Amino acid sequence: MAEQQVAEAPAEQQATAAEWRPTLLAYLCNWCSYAGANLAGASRMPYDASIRVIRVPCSGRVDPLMIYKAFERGADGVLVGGCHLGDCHYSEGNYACQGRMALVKALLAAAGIEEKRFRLEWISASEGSIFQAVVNEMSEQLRELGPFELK
Amino acid sequence: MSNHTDAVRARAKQLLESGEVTRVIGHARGTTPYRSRPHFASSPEQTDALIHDVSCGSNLAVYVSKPKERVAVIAKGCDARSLATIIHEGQAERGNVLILGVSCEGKLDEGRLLRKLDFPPRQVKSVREEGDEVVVEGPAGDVRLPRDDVIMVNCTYCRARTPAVSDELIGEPVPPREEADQYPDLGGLDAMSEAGRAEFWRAQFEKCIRCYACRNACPSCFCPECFVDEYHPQWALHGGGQFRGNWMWNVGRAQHLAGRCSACGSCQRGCPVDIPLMLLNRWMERATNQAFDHLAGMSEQQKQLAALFRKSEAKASEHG
Ligand code: SF4
Ligand code: SF4
Ligand code: SF4
Ligand code: FES
Repeated sequence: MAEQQVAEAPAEQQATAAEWRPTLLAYLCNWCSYAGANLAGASRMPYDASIRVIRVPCSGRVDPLMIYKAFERGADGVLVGGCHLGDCHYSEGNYACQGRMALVKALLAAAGIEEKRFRLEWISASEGSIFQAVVNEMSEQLRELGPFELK
Repeated sequence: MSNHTDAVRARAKQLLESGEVTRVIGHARGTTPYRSRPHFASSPEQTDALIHDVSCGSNLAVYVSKPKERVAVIAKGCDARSLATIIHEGQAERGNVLILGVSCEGKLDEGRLLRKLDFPPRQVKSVREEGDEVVVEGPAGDVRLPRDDVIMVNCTYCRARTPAVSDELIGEPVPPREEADQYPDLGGLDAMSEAGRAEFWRAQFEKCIRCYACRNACPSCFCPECFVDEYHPQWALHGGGQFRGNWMWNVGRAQHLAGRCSACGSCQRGCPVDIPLMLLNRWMERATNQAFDHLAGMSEQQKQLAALFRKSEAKASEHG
């Protein structure tokens, strides 16, 4: 699955010295963060075009390997968005996600990947503005960090 | 002192004679005095080959895979941690494994040992323990070396020198090493910058030849199909020397062993290119220890790490 979806950044957004745009890969839960993103769009809230969204049925679907694979394939940052704790449609998927992502954070730190390149956020379907803020903030941080490369 | 050969042989013989177990999994002498190999005794006569001394480092839990009849395993603390872990994960019925614990003060690291000798390895006549020393009999007599200088580094911070889970114990209980919870082994990585760590692992993972000896040596790596062998998706590109694929493999392996690793060091001992895999394993152990108060295989009642995620307080999200 991830093999096809986590594609290399399209040529048009690869680094040109002047206007480099990071690739922010986002795994968004269908029921909340994805809907939140949709609301941001429908409300015409501008947000950074660096984001590339992969919709997942629940944040509990996000296998840690999917994060590592994204970095291996050239993502500059990865965002995971799920329902607020207590609101998961499968009741505990986001708790499972939270535990796993704590391990992912530890391992990314061991591997030397900057903390700001990875983020877990709880964003509900009504929080379009939070989605906008998170994407903009993270994109800005990725611009400061510059391209990520497993070189 | 951890030469338990006589006691191990005697108990193994009894167990097989009485028919309490159908097999005893232990070590026998390897190709040199500082090496051992696994030995499977299924009859009383076959127990004569069993040994248990400072050379018996490899984790024997790896040979326990859904036994249909009762087997006994000669288990150092780390083997016992692994056994408790894989039993919990459904790889064996508890009643089918007799955990024959042995106390342990550390097992040899062949590389560290041989680098300390100024004669060729083939001239080693015998290796024994005396007090806190390892005594190597060489061409010009005995060479005495402090034990801590020649055992696996992971043994110098072992928390399970006396097995935490066992049915019987051979040898006197030994207290855990104080360093276990202080993670002195991670000091080097801790002190590095992010770029430094990335650079460090790049140099290490570049060497990986993808032999999977680390996986084969590990009791917790029992998946019928490992992620690294999957083609769709192909998580890790194939071929040694392929850095990105090697990175995926090693990072994925460390992720999968988090909360399931007994710190036995068998993966690192097996690695032909000396990648310090224990650094990653211990890094993750520290993380799970701190965030979830979880240490693999230290008690029989313990929950699996993933079960603790359910109501985990570990805040990974920024905005709660
Ligand atoms: S890790 Fe501990 S139990 Fe295992 S061999 Fe070393 S000292 Fe013994
Ligand atoms: S990962 Fe290595 S140290 Fe941990 S249990 Fe497996 S072989 Fe032992
Ligand atoms: S044992 Fe070492 S070289 Fe072989 S796959 Fe594991 S890390 Fe790579
Ligand atoms: S359904 Fe949204 S996190 Fe589980």
